[in-house]
Amino acid sequence: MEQKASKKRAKVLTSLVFLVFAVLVGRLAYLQFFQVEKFTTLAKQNHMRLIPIEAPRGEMYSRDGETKIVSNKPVYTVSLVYLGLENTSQVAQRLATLLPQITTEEILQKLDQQKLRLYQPVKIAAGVSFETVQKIEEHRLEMPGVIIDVEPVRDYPQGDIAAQVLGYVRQISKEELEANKDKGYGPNDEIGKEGLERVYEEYLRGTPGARQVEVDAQGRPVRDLGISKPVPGDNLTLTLDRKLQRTAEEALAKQIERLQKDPDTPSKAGATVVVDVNTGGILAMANYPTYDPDLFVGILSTEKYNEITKIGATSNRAIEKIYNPGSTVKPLVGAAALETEAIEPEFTIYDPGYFKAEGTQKIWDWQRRALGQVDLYRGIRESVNTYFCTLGVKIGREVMTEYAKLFGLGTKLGVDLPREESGTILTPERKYDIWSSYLSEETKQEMKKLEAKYNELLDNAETKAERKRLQDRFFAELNLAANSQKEREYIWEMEWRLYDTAYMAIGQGDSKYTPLQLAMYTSAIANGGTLYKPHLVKKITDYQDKLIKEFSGPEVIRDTNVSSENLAVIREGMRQVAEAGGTAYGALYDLPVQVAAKTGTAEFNVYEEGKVVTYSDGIMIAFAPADNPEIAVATVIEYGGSGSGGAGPVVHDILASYFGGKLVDEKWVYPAEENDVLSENQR
Amino acid sequence: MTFHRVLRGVDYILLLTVLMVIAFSLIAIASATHVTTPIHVGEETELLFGVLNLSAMDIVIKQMIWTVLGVFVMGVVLFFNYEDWPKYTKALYIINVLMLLAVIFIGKTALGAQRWIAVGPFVLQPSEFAKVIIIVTFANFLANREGRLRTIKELLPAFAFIGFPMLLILMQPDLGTSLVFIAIMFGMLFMAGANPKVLGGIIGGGGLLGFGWLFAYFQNPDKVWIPLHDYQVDRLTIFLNPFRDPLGDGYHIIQSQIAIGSGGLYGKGIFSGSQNQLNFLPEQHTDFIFSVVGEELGFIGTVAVLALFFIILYRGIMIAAQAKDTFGSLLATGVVSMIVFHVLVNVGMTIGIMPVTGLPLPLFSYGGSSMMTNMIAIGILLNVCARRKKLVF
Repeated sequence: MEQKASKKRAKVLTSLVFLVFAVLVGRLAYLQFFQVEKFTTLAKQNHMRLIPIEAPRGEMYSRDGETKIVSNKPVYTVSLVYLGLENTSQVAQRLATLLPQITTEEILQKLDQQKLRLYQPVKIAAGVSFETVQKIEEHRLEMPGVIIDVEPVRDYPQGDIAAQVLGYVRQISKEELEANKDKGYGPNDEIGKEGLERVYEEYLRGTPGARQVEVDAQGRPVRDLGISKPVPGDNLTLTLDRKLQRTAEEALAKQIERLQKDPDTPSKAGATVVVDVNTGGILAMANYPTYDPDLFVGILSTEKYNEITKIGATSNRAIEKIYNPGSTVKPLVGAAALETEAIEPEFTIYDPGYFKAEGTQKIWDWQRRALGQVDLYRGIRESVNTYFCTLGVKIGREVMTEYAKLFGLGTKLGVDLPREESGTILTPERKYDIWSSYLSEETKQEMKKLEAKYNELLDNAETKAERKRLQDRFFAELNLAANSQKEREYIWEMEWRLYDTAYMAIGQGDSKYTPLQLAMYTSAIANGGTLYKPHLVKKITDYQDKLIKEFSGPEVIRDTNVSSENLAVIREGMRQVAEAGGTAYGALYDLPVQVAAKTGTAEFNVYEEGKVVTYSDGIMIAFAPADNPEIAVATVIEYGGSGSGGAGPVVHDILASYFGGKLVDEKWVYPAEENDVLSENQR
Repeated sequence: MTFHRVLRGVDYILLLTVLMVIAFSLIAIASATHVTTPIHVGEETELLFGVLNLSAMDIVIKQMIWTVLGVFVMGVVLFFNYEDWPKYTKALYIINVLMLLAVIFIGKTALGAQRWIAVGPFVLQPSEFAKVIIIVTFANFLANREGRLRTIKELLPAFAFIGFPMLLILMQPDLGTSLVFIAIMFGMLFMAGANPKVLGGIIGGGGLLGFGWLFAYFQNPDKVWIPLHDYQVDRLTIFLNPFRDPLGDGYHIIQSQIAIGSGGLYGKGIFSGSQNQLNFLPEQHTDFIFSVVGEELGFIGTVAVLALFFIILYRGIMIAAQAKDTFGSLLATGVVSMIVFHVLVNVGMTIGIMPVTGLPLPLFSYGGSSMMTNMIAIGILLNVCARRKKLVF
């Protein structure tokens, strides 16, 4: 080989090698000088882990501040870290065989949901038994990434009381996580889903702690780097009285089971609310059917959940469901009539046994006979429809609506629970909408045209008489468009009639209220006219018993400004309801305290096997002692038949428990016959 | 040639540099195999860092034994005058082909490829030795054709000479090693006096064809045939965007760059790299040993390693330039080509500019076959050096 050429080639080779090294060193310089921070962060994310330590949730105490209703207990949880291993699905499968309540798919799904936070343990199951934990420990080596931990979960020392009020806690959902993302929630965190747990979440939650650890590529901790201790959540002292709550629930359950034996009262559900008339504090809020809140601790099977939701056990009927109040509105109508000076307390009518308005059918007294002279006291005492229909027509729909709202009916009261319903008060507009919806399509088309035509005319109308004349013409023309007798009846019903006003005065028709509203209205009558804000929490203290917030002074929604004399008249009427001759006497006569009450029976029609069958909800409102009221109760029993017979025994037991008396069961087997005489089983 | 003369002719700078690289590698391997014992969270556990366990120590000791054996083999190679080798080249070529065939038919399968054959208690990786054998036989082949390498036609026999064993390696499949063959071939052809323009044209054209083929394949993977499995294509191209599969194919590349990048200028200290010690870095004592250096010793460490390699390669090229004859010159060139390609591909892989092909870092990655091959290669360099015309260094 020629020496010179060889040297030249060697030089070229050297340059090539140099170029290679220059590229490598250049890239290294880029990575190790200019990208140090980025890669340092990435390296830290690889091996530094914050393992959150859940804070024990705040506890809930009964009214006395000592008895725990909701507390915490430690349980085992099983978590899984996704290690980026191909065998994660094998581990999941393995784990699923050891955890009977969860399938492989569910585990993988949970892992998948947390893709954003890889290498963070994903909680697979809470409330795992010690036996299962032992089994998992035995197979630990075959299941890399499985972590067993101890953490606090909810415990209910008083058993299954007040389930719908307390609510429950479950793992946060994707949507909730999104909504609360700036509040420091992680995908493994629990959150109050319902009831007080939900409303007071920010207090109950506490501040989670964390342990910083260094982990290896398998996610195994290799070094403890420090710990910040969790701060337990704040405790709630409730207005609920543990004993009264228990009594209310048992009374509801027993009464509904009793009613179920009678085909006329196929009751399946009911609710009752007990309030302190002087503060608005809720002493008891009970529902039937109910469930054991312990179900929501740990692993909740879908079947079990469906089972309780299907029967409506999770529904807090006391605030979520609205009912026709029946005759329980009569004291309100009486108060409105007195206050607007439409009548004097001595105002007396001659009752032929029915009320008749405007060419419609008669509204009968439930007694179905002429009652003769009836004054306000007797009207309340014996729940005389004719008397209150007369008052209703005297004062009119607007006044009745105004007073209903004044006493909190048909409005949201702002109780510290989710899902509170506002209820509805029937208006002419609503009645128009309801009945017009039954019309045929063609008639509806015609109606729309007429509406357009007459709305313009009505806008230009100047006098009231003119408006009335136009409205009459509208209905007359609509009547012509009707294509059946049935439709003409609907059109007749589309107008607000005196009949509706009369109906409103006895709590029938489409005005519906929650049991809580009935209780608050009752307590406003009892306490002399103040509508307090209903609430369930008395005070909030931190885990060291330091006061965080106290709801000492009751919160007033409004003063109804109804004069104390007028309310005294109404209270006297209600007192007589529980006296001999009153509709609630049979249910309440044996109590050791004077009670004031009002019964209500709200009829409704149900289609059963092609036939229209009429059933009634049984409602009772009461307060006691009659002369110096402390508590007010409202009870609604669906399909309860009558106020006294359906709801009476529940109210009885609540009052007996509060004031010291014998419960229905301790007394005697309930004598249905005796009650029939006095109950409003017909109207 | 006397024993004394041989020793006097040895390039001690090269030898010393090689030993320094190996010493450096032993420290890196010790750190890479260093076991961090998991603790139980929640218990007050003593820091268990810094405990070398036995099996980890085994690997360092094994590599030391390989080093000793390697130095011995290097000595043996050094003392058999390379000028006598041409007469054995035919036999060597045949043995090489037979070994590679043996891998295909009786080889052990691991990681989807057959690369090993068992010889008694040893497991050999013939493709490693094939590299050295091909350098020796091809050097002889080219030396005999000196001056007849001007045109493509004249180059064809050379391609066939390399192509056959290369194909056998590609069948294992071992893409990395077959690419080493190409590097060796072009390096030696260049030094043997082949027309640089023709070589450049072939490399450029081949490269373009390869990229075009891959591109067409990506455009229409169902219709375009490619002599690679899907997983091979994925592994070859993942380095372009490792975050396409951060926990799968891209994991190695990402973790390696995190390791090197987080090392910074000075590194985190030997035995103190979190990526390495906590095993986020995969295969950290073999293919990704350079990342350990990058993380724990930083830019200073990586440049030091590269500088040592540069010295070896520079001395290798000088030896090629000063060789007594064409055969010697080509032997040295082959060794240089092999080592530089390994360094480029291995280090390039750890810093994300080269695909992951499984080529070890010569003299540095843990592994017996690789150590033997490279020590034989160094032995060849020293051999050629010791018999050069005049003392120039």
